[in-house]
Amino acid sequence: MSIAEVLSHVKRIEGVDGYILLDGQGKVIACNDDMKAPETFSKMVYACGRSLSSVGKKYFKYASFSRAHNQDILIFPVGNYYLGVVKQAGIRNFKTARAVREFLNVLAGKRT
Amino acid sequence: MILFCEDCGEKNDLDPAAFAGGKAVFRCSVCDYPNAYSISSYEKECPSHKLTDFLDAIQPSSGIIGAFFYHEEQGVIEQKMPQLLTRNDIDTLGSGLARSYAEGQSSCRDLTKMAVVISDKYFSVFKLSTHLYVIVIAAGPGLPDKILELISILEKEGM
Repeated sequence: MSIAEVLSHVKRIEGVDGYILLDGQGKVIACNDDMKAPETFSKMVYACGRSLSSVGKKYFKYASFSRAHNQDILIFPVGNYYLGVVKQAGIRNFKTARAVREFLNVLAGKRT
Repeated sequence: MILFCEDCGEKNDLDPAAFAGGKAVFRCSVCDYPNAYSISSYEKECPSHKLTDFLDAIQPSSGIIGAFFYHEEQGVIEQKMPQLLTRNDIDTLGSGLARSYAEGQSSCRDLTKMAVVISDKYFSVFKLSTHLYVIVIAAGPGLPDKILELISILEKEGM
C-alpha cells in the first residue's frame, strides 16, 4: 500500500478532517490538499510528537490537544514518523483516536 | 510551608513566618545546602492547601490513578501518585508533559487541555497559570465532571 493510499484511508476515518505525515526529521511527507497553514501544523506535530515520544518512549500511543475556538488535534507516533490529525467537531477525541489507531495497527500487521 | 532544596530537590517543611521579606533562607534538612531564593511570587501562585485540597477531593474518584501539580521552575510541588514512582520519576514526567503542552500552545493559542495516552494510562494536562500545571492520571478516557469542575475553579482562581 502506498503512502497516498494509506493517507486516503486515514481521511475516510470517522472524525478525521485533515492529516499530515512527517518523517523523523519533521519533513512533511504528505498532507491533505486543502490544509490551511501546513507549516505551522507540521511544526507543532513534530515538536509535540518528538517530545511526547521522549516522555512515553515506546509506550506513547497518542496525544490529543483540545482547543477553545478551533478543531482539536491528534498526534500519533507511527514508527519513526508522526501522523497529525485535525479532528472534526462533535466527535469525542478518544473515539477518533481509537479508530485511527485500529487502522494503524492493521497496517502494521499487514507490513510484518 | 513546603520548599524544595535547590541542590538535592528534597522537601523542607518550614515556618512561613520566617519568610516575611519574601526571601527563603534555609539549610536543607537532608543535604545541608544553604538555600536562598525569592518565594513571594511562588507562594502567591501556589497556596499549598488549595493544591492538597484538590488532590484529596479527586483521589476517591473511580478510575483515578493519581495526580500532581508541576511548576516549571519548582518542579513537582504537590502530588498523590502511586508510591512506586520516585520524586525524580514524577519530576521527569511533569517536565516532559509541561514542555509538550508549551510546544502545543505556541502553535495553538486557544489550547485548553492536552491528553496523552502512555501505555494504557490517560494523562490529562491542564495549565493553571503561567508556570503551573495540574496532571491527572486515569485508567480511561475522559475525567468525571466533578474533577473538571474542580479544575475549572482552579483555573478561574488563576492558581
